[in-house]
Amino acid sequence: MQISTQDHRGCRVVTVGDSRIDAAVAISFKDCMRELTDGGTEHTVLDLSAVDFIDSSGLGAIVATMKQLGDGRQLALAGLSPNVEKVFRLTRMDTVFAIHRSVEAAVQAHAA
Amino acid sequence: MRPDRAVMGTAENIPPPPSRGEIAIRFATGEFEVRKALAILMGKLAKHRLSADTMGQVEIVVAEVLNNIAEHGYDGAGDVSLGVRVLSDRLRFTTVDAGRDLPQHLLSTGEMPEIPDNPLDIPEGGFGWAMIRELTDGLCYRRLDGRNHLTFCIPRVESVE
Repeated sequence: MQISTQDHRGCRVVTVGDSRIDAAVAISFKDCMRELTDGGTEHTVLDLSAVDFIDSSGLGAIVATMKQLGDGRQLALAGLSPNVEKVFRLTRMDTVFAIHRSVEAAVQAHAA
Repeated sequence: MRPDRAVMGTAENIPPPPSRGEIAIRFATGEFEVRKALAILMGKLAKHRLSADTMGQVEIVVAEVLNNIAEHGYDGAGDVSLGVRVLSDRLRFTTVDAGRDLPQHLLSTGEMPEIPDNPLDIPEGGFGWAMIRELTDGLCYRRLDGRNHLTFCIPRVESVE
């Protein structure tokens, strides 16, 4: 999977380069996210602006990532396409994550 | 009308494609095969000028149905046929596979999992069938001659701007 990170004032932005987070890549996504957020900043923003499709396996991998961060560290989401947003809304996961329109808005909300 | 068919892979035990489907896709399950089959389906449906909302619902539902067959119906590789008939007000889908029986409770009680207050208790699975049930009408499952036959409809909706 193509994933890159950038730190902004206590906020790590993890940008997914792939257009799909689905059953085919859910496990490698979860592993990647664990490595990229291990021992990192208090806030993590997952930039999904390049992602146009997510299935229930991909959703499960994002939930698993949130759990891996543990107490006191938050995972926010940014740049959801309409179809990705629909999956979060249908499953009510939009009530679990802070969801921002853009990475800039997310960083503004969460950076120190 | 002559069915528009696409065949992926070289699987030998492919169930017969649905006879009434205008679009028929056959494939053998594998790591990226569901993704490839979906890409073929969405490419073929693009010619039907469906709304973005309808296309999005189709992609979510069909991905969940096919992944379920690949992960739970078959232990390893197995053959699947997918048929789609585009009607004026809805799309009618049929899948046929020779995998394990589909547990009946998924069809009748596959509710959306509750979200508990403690984030560590939030489920990481169980959303696939709930989304299928939420986005489809007329979900019907039959086991015939050792094969699973699943039919369902997705209404055609106009995109809301």
